Parts: sequence; structure tokens; C-alpha cells
Amino acid sequence: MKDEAEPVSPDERVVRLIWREFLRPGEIVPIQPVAFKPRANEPEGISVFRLECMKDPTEALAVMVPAKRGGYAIAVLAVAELLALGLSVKPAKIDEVPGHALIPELSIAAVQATDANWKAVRIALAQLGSKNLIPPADGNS
Amino acid sequence: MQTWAIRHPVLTAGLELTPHYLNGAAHAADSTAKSWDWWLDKLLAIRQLEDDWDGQGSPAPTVEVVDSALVLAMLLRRDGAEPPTGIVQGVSGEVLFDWQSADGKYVEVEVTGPYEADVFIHKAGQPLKHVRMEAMQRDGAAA
Repeated sequence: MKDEAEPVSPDERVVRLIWREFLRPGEIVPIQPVAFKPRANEPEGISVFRLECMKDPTEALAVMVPAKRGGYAIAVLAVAELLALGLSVKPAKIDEVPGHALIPELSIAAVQATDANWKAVRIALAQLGSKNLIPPADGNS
Repeated sequence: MQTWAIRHPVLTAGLELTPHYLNGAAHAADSTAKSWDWWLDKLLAIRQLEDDWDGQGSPAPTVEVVDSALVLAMLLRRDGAEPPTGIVQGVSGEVLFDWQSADGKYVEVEVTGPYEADVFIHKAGQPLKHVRMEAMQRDGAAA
């Protein structure tokens, strides 16, 4: 496993937790792009988890309260594809889960200033994220 | 009193949505009605959400935002629009409608405030189109 203090390299993969109601199985955009919009608890950029720093992608669910864990799907994204969209991935250690990182371009301030500009990026992320998606334990509705 | 500034019969065309009577056989009318009913019920369920519905502190949409979304849904239904692919609450208190079609078109309406919305129309190979929908007073004056 990789040390989470190391910089993120382009050959890594990251996971993003996706609320089950944002899934659109079988559609052109199979994940609602809002799944990649920063929440109030993500002011500095949306949260992702470095797969190479975890034993298993489901380890990322530990960041959630137990009652909500089953409601999240797990999208696995290639860092190289994020870089190609003009995004970056920066390590941001937290206690709950190893390998926590941020995509700083998708911060609340950036999105509030120019949200329309980021919509196309979120649509692209939704399409990329659907290529390798672990469904939620509680189903998708 | 406020309402949506874009009104029948311009609404469906303005959002570049397909009228349901152009998108299938006549027998589709019943399933279209049932689908719209289902999504109106979904909006009523969103109206009952509480803050932190996702365990990450996301706020529930306000009643004013959901009611605006309900009025929009009813206007679109009356206007003959295809039912959406999805309706869901967003992570910032907004309500989102999306329509997806086999030709790759993706239309999203993001109701962000009372009778305020951003419309995004995405077609493969074309720049994303953004339209702002705002409120007007019922007498026609700008809000």
C-alpha cells in the first residue's frame, strides 16, 4: 500500500462515494452530476479516497455514520482521467479513513463563482465514474 | 405572487424537451401520465426531507423550492413534455430534474430558489448550453 503522505501520482485511482438516489443505471449520464458538487462539508474541494492507500474500496464508507453507509455506491476513477479534465488530486489526511484527498478545483468558492463552467466537468466525471461502480449495499432506490 | 417567467406553450420548447406525443405510440399516454404521477409523488417525498438526509450534512430543500419544482413539473406535464428520467434533491438545497435521451442529449433543470432555476442542455460534441429561468409576478412584472 502507498503512504498517504506521498503525492498522488497519475497512475493511481481514487474513489468517490455516490448517494444511491444519484444513480441512473443504463442512461447516457449514469450518475447525476450533482454527485460531484461540493457539499457544505467540502469547502476546500470534493472528497475522494486513494485506492492505493486502502485495503479495499469499501473502506472509504467508514467516513459515514453506520446508518448511511449502505446508501452509498462507490465510483472508482482513474487519476489520469481527472488530470485530463484539468483537475488535480491533493492529499488531505483525516483520521477516519486512510488516503483521503481533495479535488481543489471543485471547491465551494470555485463552484459558486462559476458553477455553469463546472457543470460540463461534473457531467464528464459522472460518465467516468460509472465505468467502475460498486453499487450500494441497500440497493439503488 | 410569483410564478415561472416562462409559460405555456413556450416552456417545453425552451427547455428543448420532446413532447410525449412525438415520442411514441398513442398508447404511451397512459404510461406518461403514470410516470408524471410517480415524479410528483417523489417531489412530495422530497418536501418531507430533513436536513442531513445523506449523512453528510446536506440541507433539505426548502418548501418554497420544492413547491416551485412542483409547479414547474405540473406546467411541463400540461405542456406535453416527456416525464423526466429523474428528479432528486441536490446537495445544496436545490431540486434537480434530468431528461436523458438515446441520442445523447442530457437536459438538467436545477431549481435553486423560489421560481428560479438554471437549465443546462448538453449534447455530445457541442458546448454546454446554460439558460437562467427566473420568477415573475403573476401580473407579468419582473420579480
